[in-house]
Amino acid sequence: MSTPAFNSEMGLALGILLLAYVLIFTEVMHRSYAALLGAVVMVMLGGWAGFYSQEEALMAVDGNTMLLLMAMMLLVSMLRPTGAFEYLGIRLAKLAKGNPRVLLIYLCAAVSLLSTILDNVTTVIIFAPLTVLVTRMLNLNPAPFLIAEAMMSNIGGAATLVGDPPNLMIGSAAGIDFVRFLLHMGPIVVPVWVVSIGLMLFLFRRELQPVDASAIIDLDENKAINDWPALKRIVSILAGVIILFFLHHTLHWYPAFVSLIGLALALAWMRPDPEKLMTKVEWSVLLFFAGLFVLVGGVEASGLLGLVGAHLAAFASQPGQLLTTALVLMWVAGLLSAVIDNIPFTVTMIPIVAALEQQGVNVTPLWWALALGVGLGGNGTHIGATANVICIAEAERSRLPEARISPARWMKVGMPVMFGSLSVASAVFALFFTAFS
Amino acid sequence: MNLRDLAVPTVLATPGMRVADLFHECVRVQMPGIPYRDAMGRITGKASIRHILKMTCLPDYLTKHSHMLGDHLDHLRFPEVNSREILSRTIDGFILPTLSHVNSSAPITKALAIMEQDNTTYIFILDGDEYHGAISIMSLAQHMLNLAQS
Repeated sequence: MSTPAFNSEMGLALGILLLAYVLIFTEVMHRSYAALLGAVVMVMLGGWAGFYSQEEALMAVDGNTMLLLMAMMLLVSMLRPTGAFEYLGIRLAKLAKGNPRVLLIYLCAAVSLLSTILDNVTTVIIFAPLTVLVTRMLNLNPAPFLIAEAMMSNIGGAATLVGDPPNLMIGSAAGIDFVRFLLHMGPIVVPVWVVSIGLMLFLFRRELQPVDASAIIDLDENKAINDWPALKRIVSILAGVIILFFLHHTLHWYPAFVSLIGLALALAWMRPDPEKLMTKVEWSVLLFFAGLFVLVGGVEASGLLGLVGAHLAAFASQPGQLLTTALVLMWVAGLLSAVIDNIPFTVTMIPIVAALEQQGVNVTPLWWALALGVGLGGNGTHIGATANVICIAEAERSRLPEARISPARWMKVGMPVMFGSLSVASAVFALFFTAFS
Repeated sequence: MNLRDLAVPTVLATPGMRVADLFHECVRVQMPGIPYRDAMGRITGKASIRHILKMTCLPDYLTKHSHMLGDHLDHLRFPEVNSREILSRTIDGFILPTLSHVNSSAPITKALAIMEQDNTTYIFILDGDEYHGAISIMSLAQHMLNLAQS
């Protein structure tokens, strides 16, 4: 296949993309506005230059990702006010019997497990203030617990198709179903989780010493649940959705359709106030994703991403180089995700990997490598993931000087955890490479 | 009835005022807050007991989970709650930039409507930068009782 040459349309599309990314990453304006502005400019100039039409722009928006995200946001917004998360958190905290190390493990396990199905941000928004309260009652510094919860929610989210938006985008583009995603990522995420917890227990060893044997958690978990009937309904619906996620490939249903089935049932059964419910959807996130899809769709339509893919294919298609390519992709994705938003990176990389496939490269391992990199890299710095930012803000709100999490304090733990988890992921990936190919 | 006749005169909070002095004044006039006059002589906000207590004694994590709190929290000695230290601070960091107010010629209904809108139980009577005092729902209730008796 002949490699196309770089042309003016590609230059124009690249220029618009770079300008939009500068606006997004420098936060000159809200990232959603920057993405939308870039998308509109891409469609206008792409249409004028003749490489991108409005129809192509609309087709570039991944409906499966958008609808799944929206439906899950709505389902979680119906679960959240029932108090189920608080109940779980208090029960686990009491089970730890005041042992800080056990408490950290229990809270991290809960946050990780919830993050495999629910949005990381929602999970930490609920767990972070509860964690501060519980740790204050035990006279412990909440900072290590908050840092650990954010990191473990990011790691937990990497395990499933619906755990993190980049996974959803990758799964949607690559046609990877829920079960296949879990079977490939789970065996990597589990050792990564164990190593990361071990690292944090070591790095936080001074802060995790019991300081007050008489301290008790004076919280009544039974008062956390304020609507038992609603809780039973939404939990049963979510359980059904999870079961259907396991079956969606067999049933030939999109993951988005599964979540919409759950949403439709929940709306009909629970009848929430529609006006209040709609305010729970993070429209700015959806707008951001839609803008990015249109932006990157324009670059793809210009032929630039195909050109990049063709050049990469020359390397990746050489015998024995596929593993190296995958590992390089994983680490580049991981390191970049520590400092920039992993969503734009993922959206940009997806068509490049897809272009490699058109060049005859076996891209299956590259999808897994990309998912692992963007999923684990966010732990490196305080700005690497939204969950990190939320936990830092909660530490600030606690007004405890010792709980303040500075960027340096985060990186002191985040960097070892990020490098440790990427190393473990690389080792498992390389050892069982045939399973990922 | 002019609102001015119902107003309870209070002193104005000023830069550098101690929290203890603010609390004394609020307790004396039975008002939860008083207006704040800045160094330029303009009334630019209010100093409120509730806001100071919220900012100094009530971290978000306690408020969010108040319905689950047990009855044996006192022994925890939350370091956030330190009365002497709080009372010795100045009010400068606790000024709310908005204050509910009406003109002295406004009807009582308007004052009540603004209090309801602003979710407060007291309001200041201001004509420009001229401050006449504050009225609370308690003083309005007293006024209604007085009217009924006369």
